[in-house]
Formats: sequence, C-alpha cells, structure tokens
Amino acid sequence: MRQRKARVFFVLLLLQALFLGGMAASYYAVDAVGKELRLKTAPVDPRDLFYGDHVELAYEISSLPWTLWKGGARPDKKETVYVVLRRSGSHDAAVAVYPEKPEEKEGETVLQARVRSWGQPEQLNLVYGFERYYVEENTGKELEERREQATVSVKVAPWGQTKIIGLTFDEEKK
Amino acid sequence: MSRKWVEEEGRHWVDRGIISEEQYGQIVALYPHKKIVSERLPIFAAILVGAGILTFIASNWSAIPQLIRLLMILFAMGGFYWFGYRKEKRGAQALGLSLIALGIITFGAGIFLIGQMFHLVAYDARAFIIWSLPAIALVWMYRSRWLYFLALFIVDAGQVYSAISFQQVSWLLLVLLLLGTGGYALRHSGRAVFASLVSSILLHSLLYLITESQAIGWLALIAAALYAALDWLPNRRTRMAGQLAALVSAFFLAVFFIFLLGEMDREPVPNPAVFLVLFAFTFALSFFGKRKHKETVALLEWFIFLPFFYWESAGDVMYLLVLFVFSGYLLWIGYREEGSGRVNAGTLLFLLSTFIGYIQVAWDFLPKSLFFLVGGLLLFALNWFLQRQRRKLLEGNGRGGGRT
Repeated sequence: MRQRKARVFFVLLLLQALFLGGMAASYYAVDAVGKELRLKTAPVDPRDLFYGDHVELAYEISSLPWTLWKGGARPDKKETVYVVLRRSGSHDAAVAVYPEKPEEKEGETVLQARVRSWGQPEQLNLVYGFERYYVEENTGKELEERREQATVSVKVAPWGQTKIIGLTFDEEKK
Repeated sequence: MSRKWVEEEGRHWVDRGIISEEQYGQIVALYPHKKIVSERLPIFAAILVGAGILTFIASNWSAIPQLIRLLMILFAMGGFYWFGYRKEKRGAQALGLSLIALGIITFGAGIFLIGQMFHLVAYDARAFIIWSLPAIALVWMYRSRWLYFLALFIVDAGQVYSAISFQQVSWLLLVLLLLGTGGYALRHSGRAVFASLVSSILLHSLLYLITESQAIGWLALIAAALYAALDWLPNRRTRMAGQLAALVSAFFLAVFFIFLLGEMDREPVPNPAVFLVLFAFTFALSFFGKRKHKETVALLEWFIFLPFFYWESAGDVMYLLVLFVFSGYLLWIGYREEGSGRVNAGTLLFLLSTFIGYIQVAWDFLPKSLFFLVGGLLLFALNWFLQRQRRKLLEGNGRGGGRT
C-alpha cells in the first residue's frame, strides 16, 4: 500500500514536471523550426487596456472582409477557421479564409484561428492566440500608445503552434 | 474543552473540596497540551519562506534568463512536493500537507509564468482545468481537508474566470467539481467539506444561468434539488451542514428577488410547467428522505425555496415574509435543539431580514429621520426579546459552567 502510494505520488509529480517542461519545450521548438511571419497591428477595441505587464494587440488580419471567406454558410462564433497568408511587401497579409485546413502552397502560411464574438459585424473577426505581448512591469505605456503602428514577428511551427518573437515600431525600421 | 480551562476551573473545585489535589492532577492529565504551537509553527515558517522566495523571484523575474526561470519553477515544485511527501510519511502531517499544497500552488504558478514567457493568451479555462487535476488527485490520495479546499478553490476560481473573461461556463470544470471534489466529499464527509461543496455547486450553477441568460429563478430549483438529495445522506451532521449551505444560498436568492422584483418586471422566469413539476418531484424526494430519518418537521425549511418570483406584483412582499419565517424558524429550531450555531445564524439572518424589510418597504412613506429612529428601536426590541429567550434557555439548563 505504502509502496503504491509512493509510486502514484511520484508519477503525479513527474506528470506535472513533464507538462511544464513539455509546454516550454514545444515553444522552443517553434522558435527553432517555425516559419516567420511579419504582421501589421491594428487599432484595438477601447475595452482593452494596458494591464501593467502586458499589452493587448490586434492585427490587420484580426478583422477581414467577408470576400476572403471561401466556405459556404458564415461560420458561428468560436468556430475554427484557417487563414492563408502571403507576403506582400514587407508584411504578411491574409489572402483567403477556409473552413477546412487547405493545402499549404509555396510562399504561403496557414494559420488556425477562431471566430470571436466581438468586433464589427460586417467583418470576419478572428483570434489567433497571440494577441498579448508581455513586457517588463510598467514599461508598456509607450507601447500601448503606439501599438497601432507596430510590426509583430510571429513564428509558426509546421504543427500549427504559434509564438510571438518580437515587436518593432514602424518608424524605427525606416 | 481546553486544558487551560480545566486547570483554572479545577482549582476552584479543589478549593471547595469537591475533588482532591490528586484527583485534580488526574483530571488535568486527561487533557494533554494541544500540539497547536508545535504543529503550526513549521507551517507558518514554510509559508514565510515560500513567500520570500516567490517575491524575490517575482521582483527579479525579468532579469533572469528564461531557461533559468523554467528550471527554478521545476525545482521549486519538485522540492515542495518531495519534502512534503517525506514529512507527511514521517508523521508530520500538517507540515507535509502544507508543503504539498505549496507544490500544487507552484504548479499553477508555473503554468501562468510559462504562458507569460511565451506571450500566450487564454481563450478558455484550460489552464485552471490542468491545474486542478493534480490537486484533485492529491486530495483523494491524502484525504486531507486542506487540500480539498485548495482543489475546490482552483475549480471555483477557474469557473469564475471563465465566466467573467469568456462569458461561458466550462463544463469540464463542472464535471471536475462534481466527480472530483464532490466524489471525495461523499466518501469522506465532513461538515465544512459538504457546506463548501454545496455552495460551490450553486456558484457554478449561478454562473451558468448568468452566462447563458437563463432565468435566475432556476437557482431556487437547483438549491432545492441539492437539499433534497442531501436528505438521503445517512450522516446527520454532514447532512445538516450541507443543507444549511443550500438554505442560506436560497435566503440570499430571496434577498436578491426582493430588490429585483419591484424594480424590473422584465426579469425572465423559468418555464412554470417544467419548474413546478421538477419542484414537486424534489419535494417528494425530500419528504421521503426526511421520513426515513424521522425529521418531517424540517419540511418547514422548504418555505425558503418557494418560487414567489412567479407572483410579480406581490412577490417581493412574499419573499420578505419568507425571510422572516425562515430566520424565525432557524431561531426556533436552534432554541429547541439548543444548537448555538443555528441560534447565531438565525439571529443574524433575522436582523438582516429586518433591515432589508425596512429599507425596501418603509423607505417610500417614512421621512428619513424616522427611518433611522424606528429602525433602531426595532432592533432594540428584537434584541431584548432574543436576550430574554436566551436567558430562559440558559436557566433551563441550570447554571452551566463558568462561562455565560
């Protein structure tokens, strides 16, 4: 009995350690093998405020015209869709949105997204899971004010996992 | 009874010649020194050390390289668990379990810190679900009340977070609440365990009704159903504790309706046919359960669940009446069974009912100065009445002990 309890306890401990380690490792893997995207940010809803240690971000690809939608009926809230991105100039922009995962062509990247419940109803409003950027505590005010003209670099792994790797302001590039 | 009390009172008994010095020694020896200090000091020490480490890490967090942060989380978690495991095994129950609890907390902190490291955004309560899993497993393993409360807190916090941030209720968290912590409560019943479980289930139900824009009135039925199910629990003490939690929740629901029914008549009500059929069914369930335990007089408690919200024009007055009847009933039961817990709860709820009745009913036709004057006099009168009742109760017991 004691023996079994010990085993269960350490299996539990191992699972938790593996979970945390695996979570981190998978994001390091995204860094290593992911494809880089450069995305333009866009104005966010006023309800999103600066939270002290992070800023909420929105992208041009967060609200897309319905003309890009390649499915039949319009998707419901929280439904998963697939966004095809292609590099145009120095940034990546959405070229199509599919209800099923499309084949990835040369020069294109497919991102998984979910239809969000807020935003302009005449647009296709999406969330990708990288709408938040953590900064050092209380250093985000400037970021907050200028976040509408920034470029966010995101890495996408072949298995769909994404991760923000950096944020730059457009003026600095010029 | 505490040793200190016995020591002090026993002195008087020796002085009066009721017991001899030798008997005094023997009686005092029956009450060993409680291990409070020796047990609690290491717990507080562990908490302080843990908090110290955590604040140190938190304030230097951004200066530490990511990989080191990750390792620190893993080592802290492993360390807490490992020492907790060893201490518990060697008999230092309280210290061991508090270290294990710190391990659980570190695991949760780890999930959120790693999320921050990689700029992750949550769009559901997933993090809380994962966090609660080891907590629930450890509750079952150690059968510890404190771990149970921690697990319950994680599940409840996750549900509140999900409701507030994403306007949805996580079904998985509800399942974990019912099967994980609820299953544990059923097997190792304790009073606080049951009361907190019933309150948590009602909290999750309330969040569901709000996020799905359903009629809040359904909550009365859910509370009644929980109450009725508890009637079939064999252990009397846990049954009473769980039911008291359901009753108090229904009490506050009634308060909510008193303020709401007059204000806005658009508040949706549950489908009457479905509600009443289910209500009758749960009442029957409760009736047969109570008959089994020969407690049919407690069916009076059902008064608080009655759905007066259907009665739009007079609903708030009826609910006010319900509050008075219910708190009066609690007082009556408390005096009859000499249970100080119910007497105190009854007194408190009675005062609250008076107050609510006063601001809700009297405000319109009384000038403001009279409001305070009559309100104060009402409370004085009530206090006088209750004190008299209490004295009678104590006199009925004979002069008990040195405490009054």
